[in-house]
Amino acid sequence: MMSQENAQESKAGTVNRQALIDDFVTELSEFARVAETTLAEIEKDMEANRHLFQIFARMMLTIRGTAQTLEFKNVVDIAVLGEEIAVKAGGADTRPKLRKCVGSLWDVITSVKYLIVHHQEETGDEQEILINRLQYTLNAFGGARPKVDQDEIEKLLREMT
Amino acid sequence: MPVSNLSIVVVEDVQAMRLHLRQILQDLGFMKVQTAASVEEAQIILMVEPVDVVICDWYLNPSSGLDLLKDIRQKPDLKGTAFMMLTAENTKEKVIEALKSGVDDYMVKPISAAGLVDKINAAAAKRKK
Repeated sequence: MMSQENAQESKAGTVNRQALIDDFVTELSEFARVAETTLAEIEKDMEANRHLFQIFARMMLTIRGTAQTLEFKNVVDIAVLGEEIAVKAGGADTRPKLRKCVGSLWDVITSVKYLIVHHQEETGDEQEILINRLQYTLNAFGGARPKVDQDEIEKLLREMT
Repeated sequence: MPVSNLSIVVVEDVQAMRLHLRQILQDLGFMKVQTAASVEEAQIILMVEPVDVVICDWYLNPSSGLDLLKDIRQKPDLKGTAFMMLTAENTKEKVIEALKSGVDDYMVKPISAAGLVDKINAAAAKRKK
């Protein structure tokens, strides 16, 4: 695949933007499908398969990064919460907490799948309610991990190099 | 836009993202841009010809960008190759891990064309010292 891509490079010229978005959406949908399959696997045995939350979280991160590039804000807003809840789920110490996380992640994946396809829709009331509910769940598990923005990264880079 | 002779390899497992990044870099005047979908593909490119800058995603199936970074840093003939991480991963813990591992720059998605030329040139110059 690499060699084909690189061989096409000189011929490609300007990549058609709509075709590029279509390609992105196709790949995003595939990541969402992997996340959904992973969640279904987790649900079969939540204790034994809790390591799979890591895969779900990674799919959400990939979806978030791609959606940010495309400025699909609705997808980003949900995916980031899905990523954080999946990380918390991996460390949940009781079965009810695990169940709560899995329930939230089903809401996440259902919504993300819909929003990837309908990325041009404005944020609706249902999404706002879902985001609030997911945020509430995440807060109950201790909140999101500390994040840094590009300015803070530049500062860290200067300090460490 | 001035043309740059720097050779760049973009390592990214999302195909549409690879094409998008390559287009951005070419629009910025970088004419020698190759792409790789995995660490293994990138390693083959690096074996064949000298590369000035690697722009790499963190999470690549099955390896990671950090694996590629460690491999590059272990090879004396690649000491002139700059490594820039480009990822959605922005947890403080992970960013620090990457910086400690020796990345020359760390960029959080979405990438912005503004300032990118300076960043690439700076990373390349740092490694050529």
